[in-house]
Amino acid sequence: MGIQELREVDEQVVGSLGKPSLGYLALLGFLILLIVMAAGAYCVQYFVGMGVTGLSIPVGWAVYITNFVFWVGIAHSGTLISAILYLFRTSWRSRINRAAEAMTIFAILTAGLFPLIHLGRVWVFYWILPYPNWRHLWPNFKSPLEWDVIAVTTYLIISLLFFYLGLIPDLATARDQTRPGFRQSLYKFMALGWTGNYEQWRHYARGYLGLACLATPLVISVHSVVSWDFAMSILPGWHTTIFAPYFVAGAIHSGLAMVIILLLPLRKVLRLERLLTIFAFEQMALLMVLTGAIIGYAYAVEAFISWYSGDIFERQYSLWRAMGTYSPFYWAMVLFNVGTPITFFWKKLRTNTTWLMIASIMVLIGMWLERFVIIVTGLAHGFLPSSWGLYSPSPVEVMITIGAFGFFAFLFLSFVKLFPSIAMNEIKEKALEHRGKP
Amino acid sequence: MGLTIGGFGVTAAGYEKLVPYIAQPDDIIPGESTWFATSCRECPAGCAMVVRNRDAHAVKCEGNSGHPINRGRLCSRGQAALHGLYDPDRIRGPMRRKASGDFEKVSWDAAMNAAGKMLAGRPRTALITDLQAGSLETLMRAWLGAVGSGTYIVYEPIDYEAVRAANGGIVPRFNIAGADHLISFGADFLETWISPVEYAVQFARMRQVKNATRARFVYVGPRVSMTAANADVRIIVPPGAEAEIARAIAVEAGIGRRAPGPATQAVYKKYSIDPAVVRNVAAGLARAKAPLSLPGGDAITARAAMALNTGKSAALIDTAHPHAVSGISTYAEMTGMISAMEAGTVDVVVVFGANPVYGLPDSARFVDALKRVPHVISLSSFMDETSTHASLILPSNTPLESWGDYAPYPDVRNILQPTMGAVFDTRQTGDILMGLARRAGADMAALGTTTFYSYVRRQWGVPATPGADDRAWESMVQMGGKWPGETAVPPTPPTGYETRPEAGFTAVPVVLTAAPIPAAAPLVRPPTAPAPPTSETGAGRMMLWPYPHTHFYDGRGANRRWLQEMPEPVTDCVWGTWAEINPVTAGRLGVSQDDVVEIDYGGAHIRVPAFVWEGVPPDTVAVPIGEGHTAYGRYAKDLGQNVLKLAGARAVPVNVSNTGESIWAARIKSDTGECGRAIAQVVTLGEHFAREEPIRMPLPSGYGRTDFQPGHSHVGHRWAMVVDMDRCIGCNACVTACYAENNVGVVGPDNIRRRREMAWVRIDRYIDWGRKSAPIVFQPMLCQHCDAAPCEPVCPVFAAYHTQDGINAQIYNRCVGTRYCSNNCPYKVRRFNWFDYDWPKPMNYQLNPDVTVRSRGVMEKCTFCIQRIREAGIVARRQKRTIADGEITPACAGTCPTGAYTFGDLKDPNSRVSKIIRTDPRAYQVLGHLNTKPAVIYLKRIVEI
Repeated sequence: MGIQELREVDEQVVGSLGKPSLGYLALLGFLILLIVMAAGAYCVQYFVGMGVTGLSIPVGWAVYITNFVFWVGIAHSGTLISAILYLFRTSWRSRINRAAEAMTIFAILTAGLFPLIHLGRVWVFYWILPYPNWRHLWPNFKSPLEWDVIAVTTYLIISLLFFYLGLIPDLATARDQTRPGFRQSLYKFMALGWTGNYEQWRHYARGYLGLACLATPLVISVHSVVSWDFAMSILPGWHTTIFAPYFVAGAIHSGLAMVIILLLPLRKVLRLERLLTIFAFEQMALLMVLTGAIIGYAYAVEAFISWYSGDIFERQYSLWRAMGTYSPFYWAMVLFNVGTPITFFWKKLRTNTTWLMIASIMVLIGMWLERFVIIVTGLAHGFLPSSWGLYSPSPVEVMITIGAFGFFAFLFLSFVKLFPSIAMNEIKEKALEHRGKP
Repeated sequence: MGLTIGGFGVTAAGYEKLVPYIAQPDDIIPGESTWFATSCRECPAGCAMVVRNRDAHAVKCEGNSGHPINRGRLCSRGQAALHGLYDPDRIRGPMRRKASGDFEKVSWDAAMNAAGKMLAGRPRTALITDLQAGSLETLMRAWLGAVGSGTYIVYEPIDYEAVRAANGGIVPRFNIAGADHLISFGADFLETWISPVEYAVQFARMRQVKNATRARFVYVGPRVSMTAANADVRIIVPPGAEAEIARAIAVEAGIGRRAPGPATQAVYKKYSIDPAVVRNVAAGLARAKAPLSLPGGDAITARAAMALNTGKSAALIDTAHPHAVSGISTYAEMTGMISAMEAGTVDVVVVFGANPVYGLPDSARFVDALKRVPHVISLSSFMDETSTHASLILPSNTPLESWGDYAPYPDVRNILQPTMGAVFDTRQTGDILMGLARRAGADMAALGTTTFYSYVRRQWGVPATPGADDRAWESMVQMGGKWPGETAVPPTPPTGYETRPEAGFTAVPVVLTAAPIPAAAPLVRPPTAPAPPTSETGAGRMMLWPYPHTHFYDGRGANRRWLQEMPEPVTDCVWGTWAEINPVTAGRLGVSQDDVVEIDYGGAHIRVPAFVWEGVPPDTVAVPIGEGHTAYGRYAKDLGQNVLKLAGARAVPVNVSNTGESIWAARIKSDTGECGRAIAQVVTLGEHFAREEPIRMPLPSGYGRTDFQPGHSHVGHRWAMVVDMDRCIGCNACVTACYAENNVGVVGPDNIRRRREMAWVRIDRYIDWGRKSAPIVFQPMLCQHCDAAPCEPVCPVFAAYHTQDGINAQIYNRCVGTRYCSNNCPYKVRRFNWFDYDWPKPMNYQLNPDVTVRSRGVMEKCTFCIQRIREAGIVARRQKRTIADGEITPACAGTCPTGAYTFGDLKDPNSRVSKIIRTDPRAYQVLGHLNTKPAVIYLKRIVEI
């Protein structure tokens, strides 16, 4: 790769920030429509009451918490790709890390909405936050929900910093490549005076490494903490020690699927095929084989332990989950999450972008269903048979769920037109490293 | 409202305005309750109540502890009397029918004048009322004589004619408590039959274990009702067949001359009964020292049942003191009057309390007859079906706003007194009648008084006007009436009973007269010999068993929304009517749960959803009475179907067909079985009671090495409750009492379908048909106030909170509504406010001022009635003593007819709860293995094998 090629990287990436097409604007408009619809549905819930949902007394959590866990899970692979793969010096990481990091931020922002949406009295949500106050009323640090607040907020802050730090050199490139105007001022402001001199690069590398080290444990911790929302309770189907690794694997599983879903069209639309090579997708597919296997193992262990425990509550619960009202969802989740990645053993399939897309969507559906099945069946089939109940989502919940996807897509779509969606500096660095070798 | 309290009799038309006192009335201390003794008039039983008046509003009904009928207990209907008082659709003032057919509001003066004109010139008048056994009845009879020539009909849809037919025209008083072997033939005496609370109290006494044995209860009837669910043996046969079983039992027991033979065998075969079961019952009957058979069902059944009451039973049947229901007019008297109305020989019909348009079958053609009567005057408090046909409505006070008396038995006489001022522009029935007589020019001088209050006083032998020394009257009013063996002290609660000060009544002493009991009447209802329900007569041919609904009785409870919200105990259905069908029959008809069936009888038909279960025999369809109102207020109207219109409350052969439609019926529980989870546990009497699991006490002593955290060090007290499942009959009185005490929201059918009922205490019922002696077990489920409560640590804002005295409190204004506490509650006793639940005016007057009304978005739950605990604590502290055992009674425990609940302090080793937990081997904790250390300890239900 010569200087010419390095310039090509800049031109390709910065060039993708050009004037948006009509199709892009139409899509953006559609997403805004979805968001407005969800906001309207939420207003109904806010002013009428939680009763407009399908929730009930056995099933006090359902689609909203499913969405929360789902989006937190999506947020996972972003940091995994940026931090862990960075530390391991994985070669294909640099092609996708920017988009993955952006996805992380947007997924957390989407996820963060749901604990608020599901609150009965959202107008006093700040009582959950630990802040000094006159009455010395602190939140309950024993509550897994409080851990959630802390874990997710920490994750958001670190991810945001990590993302921004990595973006700085590229912002400077963008600043240098765009004509004066609003965009250039924005890039200028955000580039924080980056000139690319040696001292700055040294600080940058140290800082990036430091943040990568800080973010790595978070990949494990955040979803572990989210899983403890369930594992710390006493419900059959929730109270399981395997939940933390199971949820982390599941989170990465769904996150990788989401990265693939986002990058495949991006690569096409922005004509980045040369940068986003199929090799990166192949690697992600292979990683999904691993995570899918872990999940499959977790499913099997869950069922086995509930039988092996001899506990009548656990046994009946597991049977009901597999054979009862929600069994289609359960088996769909097994098929999508464990079955789909198996196809990636075949190189032909994992390098086929159409199948990659279809398989990723299936995994995403499967992972959403997994959270739904865990949350709803656990609640619906508790200890007292007198208190069993079923759940089906109300229109309000459906609209808000769809709106969340719209919100996420809207943020991501805005991002790719506003900021460099490929880490130019890293690709160039990799290219130069490669050239330096004999 | 406040202003009217000083001078009663001045009505409170301006009830909507909150006006501060200018002159503070003596008997009202803001923030303190006053208790008024009165009598419940929700059914003919005549339980005595004390009503809590708080700041001039009646807010809670309790049983009168000194009374021989209900012994301080009250059923759901008694609790819900307040919803009659505060029904937002009560008639708010006099109304006259316009030419257009609509009603228009008129002044009392105009209405009374109009009525006076109708009654002038001694018209032929018919007076139809519900059962009034007391001064009002004597007044009505006198009034009828004075105003015109007329008939007096005491109309009750549930008329006990069969019981009377079998007992020489009267309904005797049965002493269930004294029996050692009880057989009920279709008599649901724990829910609706004659005097349910009285019999439930007696039943609990009868069922006490003495010397490792206890009285046996056998139920023979067409449906596993709540009463049947409490029996040791159930013989479920189609209606009309009970008599055959009774005769078989008699034969097997050697009562009478006949010996067992092929005829008996044929009966067993016909109804697929195991002969051993009947022989076992017969042997028990023969062995018993004091057996008793209760005559429910039709006349033939009642006679056959009474035939089983041999000399050994004589002491248990008191014919000298017949129940007031003996005075209900016969069906023949009613039809006679309908003929007279049709013939045009009735000029005026005056209706009060009774609702014959609803209660009479279509075939009686009452509505057509009523339309032929020139003038129909309704004195009802509610716009019921009969009132909608009135030409003039002069609304009466409800019993809770009225003076009066009611004698359920000749020697048990209750006094009714107003428990608050009139909510609407209504008047006392007696006063209306007297006023009408005056305006009609009738001579009422014989009464010697012009107000009903003085009339009642004179009936009780005291001066019509209070003199300087009115203590005789006052003490009677304080006691709630007069009965043999009464104690001299007024009943608890101890805050003191006060009579309402009266002024302006004139005094004329009168000799006390007892409530008249009509002479023995023969069976006049045409005996309908029901065709045996066999499949020979067609696939849909079945016997209809219309049974009075536990909560609505004959339909009068349907406008009380608490009662609509209360599940029928064995089916758990709410807000509607259903048809119970055996799975075998349902399979033949192609009907499954909630499929709508049409029930036809002689041209009339109803369409109701099926409730398919084994609780009714094949070829029988059981339908509850009570719903299907076409008027009667927003909570009753257009809900369910009225089975009375087919054939009244009689069992008749009907035709049932599948309509192919299906509806989503509202029911509370989703599942009926226990799934082997050992939640509602049972033991047999013979079993050696050994505790299978240790009780993990909700005290520091209950914590061990397996506990991560130490126990709470409770300051002062550690409240706990013992629930005796053997005493619980499943009646839901506790649930209604809890709704009343704790301002629990009523959510309606749609939300119940979505499992959002708000009940803080509920009766879980588990069905296991394999367990022959107790297929249905009831388990009251309320917050267990766990010491290691799963709900507490998961709340991020400490809204779920452990108080110093061990209560698992919920701080409503701290709650943010995550619902995590409810998810983590293994007992699912937490309730979330999905919406803001409404109390349409004036129902908000019923709200207990001591309890917060929760807003939407917060979790709520049982508090062990913390307001009562705190009140007792404050009183004790002021008196510089500790709270005594038994001083605090939560609402559920206070009303329970059988005394299933015991509440007390675990830190006091001598408290009743401590003693029971220490000594009773039946004690266990529900889901105790979860180590939640619940403070509600259950006692296992005792069953036969």
